[in-house]
Amino acid sequence: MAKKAGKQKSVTAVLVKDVKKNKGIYLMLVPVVAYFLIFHYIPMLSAQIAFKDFSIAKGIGGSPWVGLKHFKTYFGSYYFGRLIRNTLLLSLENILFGFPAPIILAILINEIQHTGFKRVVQTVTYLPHFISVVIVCALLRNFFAVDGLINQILGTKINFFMDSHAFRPLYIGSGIWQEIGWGSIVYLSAITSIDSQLYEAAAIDGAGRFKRILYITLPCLATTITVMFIMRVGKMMTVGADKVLLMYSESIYETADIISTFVYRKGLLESNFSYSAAVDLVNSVVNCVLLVGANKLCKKLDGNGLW
Amino acid sequence: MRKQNTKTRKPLVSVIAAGSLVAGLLAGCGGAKEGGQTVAGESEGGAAGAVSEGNAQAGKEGSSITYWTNLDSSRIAPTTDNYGNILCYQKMAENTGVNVTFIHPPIGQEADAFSLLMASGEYPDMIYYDWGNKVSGGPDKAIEDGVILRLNEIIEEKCPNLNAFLNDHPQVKAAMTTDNGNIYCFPNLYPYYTDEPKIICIRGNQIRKDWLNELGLEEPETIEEWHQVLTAFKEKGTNENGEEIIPMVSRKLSTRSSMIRTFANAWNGLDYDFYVQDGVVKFGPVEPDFKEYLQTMAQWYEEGLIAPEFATYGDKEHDALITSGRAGVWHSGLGAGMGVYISALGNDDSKVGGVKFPVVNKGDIPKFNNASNFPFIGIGVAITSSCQDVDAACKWLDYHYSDEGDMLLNWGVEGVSYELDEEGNPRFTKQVLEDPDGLSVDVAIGKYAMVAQMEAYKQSDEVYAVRMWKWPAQQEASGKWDATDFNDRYPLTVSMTPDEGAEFAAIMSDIETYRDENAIRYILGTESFDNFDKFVETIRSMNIDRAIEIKQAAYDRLQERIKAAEQ
Repeated sequence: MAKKAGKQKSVTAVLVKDVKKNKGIYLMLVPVVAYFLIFHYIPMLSAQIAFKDFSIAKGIGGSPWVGLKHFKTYFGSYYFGRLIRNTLLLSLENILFGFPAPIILAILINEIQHTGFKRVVQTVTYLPHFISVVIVCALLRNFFAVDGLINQILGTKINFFMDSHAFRPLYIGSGIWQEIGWGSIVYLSAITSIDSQLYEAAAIDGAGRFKRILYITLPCLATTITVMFIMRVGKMMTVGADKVLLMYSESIYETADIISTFVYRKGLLESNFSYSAAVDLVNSVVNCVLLVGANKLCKKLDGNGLW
Repeated sequence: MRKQNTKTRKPLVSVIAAGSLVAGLLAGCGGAKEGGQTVAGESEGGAAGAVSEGNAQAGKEGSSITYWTNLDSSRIAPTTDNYGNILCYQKMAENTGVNVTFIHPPIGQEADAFSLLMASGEYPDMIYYDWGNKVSGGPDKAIEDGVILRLNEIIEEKCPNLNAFLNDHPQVKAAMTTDNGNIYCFPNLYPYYTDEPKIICIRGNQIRKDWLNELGLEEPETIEEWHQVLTAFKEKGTNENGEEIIPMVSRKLSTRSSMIRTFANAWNGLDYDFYVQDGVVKFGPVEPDFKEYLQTMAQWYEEGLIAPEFATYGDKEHDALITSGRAGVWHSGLGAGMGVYISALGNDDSKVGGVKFPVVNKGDIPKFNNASNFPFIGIGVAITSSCQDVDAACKWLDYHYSDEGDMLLNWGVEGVSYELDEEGNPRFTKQVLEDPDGLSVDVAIGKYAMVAQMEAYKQSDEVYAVRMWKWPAQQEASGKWDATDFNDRYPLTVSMTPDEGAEFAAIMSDIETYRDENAIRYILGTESFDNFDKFVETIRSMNIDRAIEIKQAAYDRLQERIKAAEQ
C-alpha cells in the first residue's frame, strides 16, 4: 500500500479533477452503479447459504456451516448428468441456430433496395420481441396441439408437447422467430457504418452482390460478431427458466429439465434454498470459465476480444 | 462512423416506439394476473390504517391484527377480492371487537407466495396454511425455529370454546398434536367429527349417463367393465355436435386428482403414492401390482381411450373437454365440479352421473385413497411469533368455535342469509338460494359466509349438502362414492421430527420426479415395459426403503397417540 500511495494519490487527484469537470455525466452514472451494487454485488454475499444449512428463522448469519454437503449431494444426484447435458445441448443448439440467424437477416435487409419495403420487413421482424413469453408459449401450444394448426396442415396427429424430441426444435425455433429482428439491430447499425466507397470500388472491380457480402460486409462485421459471440457464450449455462417452465411437463423432462428449472423446483417449490443456491453457484462458476475461455479463443483466432 | 449511424437511427427509434406501444397492449393481457399481494386499503402490513372498509366501522377501540389466507378463486373471488368484505367477518369484528386485516396471496401462486413470506422473516399475525404437510421440516420445526407459536397452553388458557371441543374429541386432539407434543394450529375441522356426516367423499368418478343408456350399458365396476364402456364410447365416435368423443379425460399424474392416478386404487387399494395395508406402509410404484396397473393404462392410451394430451392439461383444458360435451368419464369434485358440468351441459342432470370407484372383482367394496374421512388433515391457522397481540388473535379465532361464530361462518347472518325453521334448524334465505344477481348458490353464499371452507372452524355438513346436492344426481353420486373403504389411506396428520422430515423430503423429491416422469413415459408407450425392472430398481437405489421406514415410524407413533387418547 505504502509503495503505491504516491501513484494512487495521483489517480485520485485525476479522478477528483475529472469529476469536478464533468459533474453532470458522473451524476448520470450514479444510478447505474447503484443498480449493479444493490442488485448484483450485494446479493452475492448471500451466496454463502450454499455452504450452510439455511434456515429462515435463523437467518443467513445464524445458519450453521455445512461445508460442501450440498455440492456433494448435487454431484452425486441421479439428475446431475442429465441436467448438465440438457442445459448444454439446449444452449449449444440455440447458439448454433440462433446466433447466425440475426446476422443473416441483417445482411438480407441491407441488400433490400426499396426503402419502404425495407422498413416494413424491419418492423415485422422486430415486433415479436415485444410479445410476452407467456403469450408466445400459449401460441405455440395452440399451433402445435394435437388438433392444432400445424397438425391440421400436415394431416397428422403428432403430440408435440409430450414428445421429448420435439422440445428443443420448438424452443429454439420459436426463440429465433421472436428475437431475430431485435437481434439484427446491432448488426444493421454496424453495417450502415461501413464506408460505402468500399462497395463502390468493389462494384467497379466487378464484384457481384454475393462477393461484396463475403469480402466486405462480413469482414467489417467481424468485430461486432466476436463481441456478441463472447457475450452469448458467457450466458451459455444460464438458460432462463421461464420459457422452459411454460413449455415442459413431466413427460418431456428427459430433454427439457434444465439447471434453472431444477433450481426453481428445489428452491421455490421445495424451499430447499441452500441446495438450489449450491446448484446455481456451480452454474455461475462454469459460466465464468466459459466466458474467459471464449474470450481467449477469440483473441487467438482473430485478435479481437472483450478485454 | 457516427454520422451515418444517426441516419438510420431515426426510423429505428420510431419503429421501437411503435413496437413498445404494441408491447404495452400485449403485456396488458398478462399484467392483471401478476402483481403482489392484495391488501385491503392502500398501505401494507399490520398498520391499523390498513383495515378494510367493513371492519373500519367496527369497534374503534378494538385491537387490530393481520391474517394471511388464500383467496378462494371459484367461490369468493367472483364477488370480492378481500375476505374483509364478507358479511360474516364484518359481523364478527363487531361481536369480538377485534379488527382483522386480510392479506391474500395472488391466486394460483399461494405456495410460492408462502415460501417467499417465510423467507422474508416478517410474518403477519396469523397464517392459514397446510402446516401439517406443506411446510418444509414440519410444524415442529416451524415452532422450533420460532416462526409460529406452540398453542397447547394458549388454547387451554385463552380459548374456552376450542378447548372444550378438543376435550370432547380426544382423537382429534391426538391427531393435532405432534410427536413433540405441540399443537401448532387452530384446526380447520371437516364434518367427519359428527357421528354420521351427510357427505364423506366430495370427489369421485363421473360418467356421461345419457351415453351409457343410449348404448345400453351398465355402470362399470371392474376394470374389465370400465374397458368395455370406454371402448363403447370410443366406437360411438362423435357426440351430439359431431365432435370427436374422448372416452376418458384425466389431469396429469403429478396432480392428486388425476383420474389415471386414482385408478391405481382399483388394484386392491394399491396407490400411486404411499398407502397403508394392515398397518404396513407401502409405496405403490415398487409394489408388484404397479406394473399391471401401468400396463393397463398404457394399453388404454394406445387404444385411444385416454385424452391424448392429458399430461399437459391444466384445470382449464380438463374442464373444457367436459363442458363442451366431448368427455365420457372423468374424476372431479362433487359441488364445484359436477355442479358446473351439469349446468354447462344444459342444466340436465340426466346427462352426468357419479359412478363407483373401480375394483378387481365384481362386488368388492372399492378402495379409494384420495378422500378424507378425518376431521383434521393438518390445515389450520397458526399464530406467528410476530404477533404482538396474542390475546386478540385468540379471542377472534376461538370465537370461530363458539355456537355464534359457528353459525356466522357456516350460514352467515341470521335474517339476512339464513333463518331458523320451526325446529330451529337453519335454512338459507331466498336471497341466497335465488340470488338477485343470478349467482350460483356456491358463489352467493360467499357474500355472507365462509363458503370456501378455508378457515379455522367447524365445517357444517348441512351446508355441504345445500351446496353440493343441487341436483338429485349429485346426491346419488355421493351415495355411490361414500360406499367405499377409505382405510388404506395414509393419514395426513402424521408428524416427523425435523431431521426425519428433511431426510424424507430429500429422498422423495428425487423419487417423485423420477416416478412421475417415467410412469407417464410408460403410459405413452415411449418406454418399453421390458425395462420395467430398471424402473423399480432405480427407485430402490434412490433409497425408497428409508423413506418407507420413516413413514412407517411416523404412522405407528400416530396410532399410539390416538390409542392413548381413546383410553
